[in-house]
Amino acid sequence: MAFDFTIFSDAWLTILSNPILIVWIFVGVTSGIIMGCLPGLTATTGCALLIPFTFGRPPLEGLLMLMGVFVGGIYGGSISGILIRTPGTPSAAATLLDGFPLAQKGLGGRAIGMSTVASFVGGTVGALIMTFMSPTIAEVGLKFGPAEFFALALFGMSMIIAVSGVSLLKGVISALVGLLVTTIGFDPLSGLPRFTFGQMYLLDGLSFIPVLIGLFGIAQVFRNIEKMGIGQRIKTDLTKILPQFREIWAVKVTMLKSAVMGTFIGSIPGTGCDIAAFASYAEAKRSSKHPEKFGTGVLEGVAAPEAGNNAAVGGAMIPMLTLGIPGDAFTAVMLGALTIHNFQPGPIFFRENLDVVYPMFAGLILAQAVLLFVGLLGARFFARLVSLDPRMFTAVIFLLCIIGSYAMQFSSTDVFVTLGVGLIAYFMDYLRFPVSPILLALILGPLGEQNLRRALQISHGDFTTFINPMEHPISLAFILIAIAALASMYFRLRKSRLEELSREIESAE
Amino acid sequence: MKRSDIVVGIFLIFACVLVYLEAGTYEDQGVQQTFFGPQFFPQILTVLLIGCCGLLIFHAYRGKALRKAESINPQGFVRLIVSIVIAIVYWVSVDFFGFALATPFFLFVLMTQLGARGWKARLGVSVITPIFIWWIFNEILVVSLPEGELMYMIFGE
Repeated sequence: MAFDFTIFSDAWLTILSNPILIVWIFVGVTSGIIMGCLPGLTATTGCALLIPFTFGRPPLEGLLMLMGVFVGGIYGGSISGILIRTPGTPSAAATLLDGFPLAQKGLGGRAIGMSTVASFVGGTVGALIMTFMSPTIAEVGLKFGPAEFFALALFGMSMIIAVSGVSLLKGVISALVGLLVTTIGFDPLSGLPRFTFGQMYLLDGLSFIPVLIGLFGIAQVFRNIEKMGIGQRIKTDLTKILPQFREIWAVKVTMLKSAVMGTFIGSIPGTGCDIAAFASYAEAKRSSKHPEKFGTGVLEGVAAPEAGNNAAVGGAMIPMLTLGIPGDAFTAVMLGALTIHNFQPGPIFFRENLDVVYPMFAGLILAQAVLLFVGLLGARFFARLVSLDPRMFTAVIFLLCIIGSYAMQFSSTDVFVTLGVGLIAYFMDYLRFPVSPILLALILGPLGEQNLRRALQISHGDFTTFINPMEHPISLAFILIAIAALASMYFRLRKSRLEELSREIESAE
Repeated sequence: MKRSDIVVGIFLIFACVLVYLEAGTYEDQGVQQTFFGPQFFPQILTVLLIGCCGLLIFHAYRGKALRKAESINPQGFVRLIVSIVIAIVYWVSVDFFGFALATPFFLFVLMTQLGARGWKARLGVSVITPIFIWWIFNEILVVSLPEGELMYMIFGE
């Protein structure tokens, strides 16, 4: 199942000959930028909110729109980061380090322009690497049996737990609670209803969309309502958006290097765009001839994280499309969107739905061009959105969450489930329990349970089958990597916890 | 954070014990009656979760609990609770009044409650947003939103 250039060309023809598909990409990118640049709304929230808008449409239209949201959302976060020092998305946190000082110097337009071009370059490189690498990885995935799939689910869970919060223990607890929730409803192997307590609503388990909107949409709305504040906007020059060619040329190496780095970091499950952005920024600073200028407002400091985090979009898609393992919360939402459209994510999806997979590749590349066009043309409009009254748009987002959770099954119960889950997620945030592991558990739970039980039945109850190097070397490798990731994160968090405790003791004294 | 971690830990342990016992009733039921039946996975999870919660409580007792990220703003929390009540009342009333009638009121009341000023802007957003959402769902996505009993009472079937 190597990369097939003929199918790829056909995919381009499919998209370019169908203006509706291009319109959906356009709608997705624009919505993503709007969601991204509004402080308090992330690309993940945007995607969770917009999934209901894909119901009733052909799957490809919906998936292209959601990919557009991802691309636009990651870029859009940089606009508010540059203008009001409040990153619209976590991945834009590195961009404001130099973006905001540039805005303070009155060069906000230049910073946004550079961010747009770097996002385009990074995103395109990431999408191209994804396009050419994915078929090979999916081919390996086709050889997986139950033991490998269970180990893969374990690996995916451990990676997201490792990076999702400040406490490994709380990440594990979140994941276990999420896994328990997946056991509600019919047992896929025996057909027995579990934990339904006679409720028809629970027979198919908790509906994914209401839970998703609750975890990422409503919870964010609740936090916004409680905080109800926005950063101070500064006056900056937004007349010169388009960066000069010499400015782009001067950072070409930084952009390309960040793009390649971002793609590979993004492709590691559990890392995501924010880590890619910070790593790219750090590398650009390290290899710069004038590292001391970083943080004072240099265009290179905007180009590196933006190229890195947008390249990570393509990278994060690789494990999601080929193995069914989401790289971060956003790809977990995308994975949910695939299942809603009746696709089984993973290698089989890749083998049996080439008519969807290849247009998705082409669509992601095209989305970068749309991003460049919309980003440069609409920069002033998006910049104005940053100062929108949050009291107005929060009410509208609240409404969209309610309608979105209802529209999937026309069920009022879903609306109340969304509100309940949102309230739980809101409190979890205060108690420092990460919610991303819950989402990943909801997706990987059924895969993990079914394959764990199948593998154990095949091996007659031998638990060592997963780590037997002769029978299942891939499974062993996944488990070892998962353990290594958790162990390294444990020691890193332990160190930072000790620092936090010593600060607490100092402040108490 | 110490107290909240202990409370969460005890609550989850209690819930896990109930789940474990409930899962035990699934043994030898369903199509596959093996040790790895429908009870297997939930029981493993509850045992792991009880262990993790025990560790969480232990850490909290030893003073190793994390600090809260930030504290809840009491005024904001009251605003949140009132907003949730408004949303529940809205969704219950949608069944009778329908989406088109109930939504403008919901948006206007919610925006006012959140502190938005300027009645023209509030009125504009309250009227235009439902029309736009109605158009998107009904015309483009072909997903019908609740029309409400009142419409049927006035216009019939």
